[in-house]
Amino acid sequence: MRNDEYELDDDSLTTEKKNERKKEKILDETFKKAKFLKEKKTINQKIVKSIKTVDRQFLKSGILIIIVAITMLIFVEYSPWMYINQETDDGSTIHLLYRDFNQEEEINQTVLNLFQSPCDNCSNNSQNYIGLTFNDFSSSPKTITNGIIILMILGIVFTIFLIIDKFRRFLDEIVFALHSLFSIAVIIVSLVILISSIKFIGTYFLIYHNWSFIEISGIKNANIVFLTPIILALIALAIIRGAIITFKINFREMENKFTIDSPEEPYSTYRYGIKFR
Amino acid sequence: MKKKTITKAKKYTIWILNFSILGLVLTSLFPLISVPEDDAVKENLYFNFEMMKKSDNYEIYSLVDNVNTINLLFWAIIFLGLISYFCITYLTFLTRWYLSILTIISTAIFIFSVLLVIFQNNFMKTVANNDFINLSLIFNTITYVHIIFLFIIFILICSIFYTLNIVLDLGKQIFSSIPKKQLLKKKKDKKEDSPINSIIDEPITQPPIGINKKLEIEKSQKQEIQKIDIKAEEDTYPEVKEEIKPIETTSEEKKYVNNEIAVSEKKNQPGPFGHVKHEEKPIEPVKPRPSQSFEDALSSAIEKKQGEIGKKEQKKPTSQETIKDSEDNLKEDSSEPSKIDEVEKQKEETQTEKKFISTEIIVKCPQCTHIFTINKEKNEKIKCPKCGKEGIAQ
Repeated sequence: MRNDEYELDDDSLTTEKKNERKKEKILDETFKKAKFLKEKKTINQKIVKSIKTVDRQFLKSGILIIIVAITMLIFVEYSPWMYINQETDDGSTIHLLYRDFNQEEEINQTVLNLFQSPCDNCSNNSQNYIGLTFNDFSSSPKTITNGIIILMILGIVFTIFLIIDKFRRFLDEIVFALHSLFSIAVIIVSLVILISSIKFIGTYFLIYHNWSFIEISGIKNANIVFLTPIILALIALAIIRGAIITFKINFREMENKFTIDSPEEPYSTYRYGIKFR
Repeated sequence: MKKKTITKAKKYTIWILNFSILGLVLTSLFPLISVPEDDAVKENLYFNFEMMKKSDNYEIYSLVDNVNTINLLFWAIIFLGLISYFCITYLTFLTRWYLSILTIISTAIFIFSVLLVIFQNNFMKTVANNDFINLSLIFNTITYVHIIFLFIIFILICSIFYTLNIVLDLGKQIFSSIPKKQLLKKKKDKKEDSPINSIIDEPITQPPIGINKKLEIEKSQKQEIQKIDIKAEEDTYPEVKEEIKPIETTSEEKKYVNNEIAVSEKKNQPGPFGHVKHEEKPIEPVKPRPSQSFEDALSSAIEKKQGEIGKKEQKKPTSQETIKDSEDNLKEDSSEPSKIDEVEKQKEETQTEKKFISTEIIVKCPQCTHIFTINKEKNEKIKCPKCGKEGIAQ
């Protein structure tokens, strides 16, 4: 009888161990569930934080566009569109041509010959050899200034909208959509500015290929730099790049807002320490 | 699935945008054509787009229209690319129809890129056919126009991949939206045009029904079933009515068993089931079966107990009745010894039953408190069927 009792005691010990293991496993499951629920909460908090930061970025982008437009306008108005360092027998002479420059000013005739061919015996294929006329120095700055004004208006409108948004909270989707539309408009306007300034930069290729024709007009050694168009083109390219980056930021924010990519499902069940579902 | 397509679409739109911007810039940057001059300088005069516009030569100026259309197509692709990017960033998360919108945009981009290739090829062909005008060379046979053409081909490839990506995903979505049952039905219809199949498939194609409608249908079905049952009882099985009567008394029987007071009151009466004729079956003698495992023995014991309890419940009143009847008969006719023997046999049988029942013990498991029955005669180890704890019953 005593032996039987001892046997029973051994059995009870094994069952106790089994029970302890089961308890441990249940505790593990509950701990993991709690951990995932906590993770989900933290993800939501992160999204809220990121949206706040994006709001600030929007405000910055609007102001940034206004600042860039003002600088572009200053370059268009006050910086020289063409810089020519002509080397003659007497020495080197520097000519700076601004927008809407007056032809009657004291500019060397050889420089003016660049825009209008003096050759009488030449064929009627072209009036000039660098693809630019006097009108280009008045028409293209006008289009660029118009573009800059549009950029400024866009920036002002967007900043005003965001100031109103601070007091009267709009939906995030509306803000994102408006920001992406704003960036589309900025890209198009900056492309117009880029192409109208590229016209001047393209002359470098023609100067290289048609140099023998240019030499006939009297210019033998000259360094030509289209300062303002190059700066404007670079700024326009930077704006386009920035707008595409803002597009990407918008996309990420929308992705985070509407589809939460949690590392694992928070409500996944665990059995005996192994992921069941 | 959705995320993959969106990321791919985003990538392709960025590539298309970059290539189209580059193409637009290069068309106004590079010299496109060259004309041989034989006047003061005997060299090729290079023309870019701006220079072509300002040319006095009609043959050169006629090419401007072609280049203008190329520029316009570039602008269109840029604009569509921007719209597609806007749709990707905004519509994908808010509307279900984002894929259909993107397919329209992507197909438009594809069409414009094809047109771009056609116009660029046309420009190159017209220049090549003209003896007076040549394409401006960079090195040997490579021209500036070829570089632009390369970018146009890149745009075309990107647009093809973009459209394929979206159209394939849209197709998958459409096919997944159609339920498999409908597809199977279509296949069946094609294969077999028998009327039986159509009758079977009808409920599958039914539109979703509301709760009220479902209840109505269930009610109507129940009514139909009841009608069918009534008809069956009336027409086909008329004799069943008589046989059903004793079954109805089973409830009274249960009441009788549970209520001992009622039994005592009814003892003097001829019997609650006077009209029911119970067949007296000889009770089998109980023999302890030798079992290999304890579990089998335990289960057999429980089964036996349950079966015999049921029998006992049925037979208790009958035995009393038979005894009373037999005693009366003995008083009336003492010359019939066979009946007395039968009564004595029955008494003995009841005693054996009691003995058998008394051998069974109800045991409670000390671990899981599960209650179960065992035979005391088998002095073996007991194992709890629930938790498996072993021990010996005292």
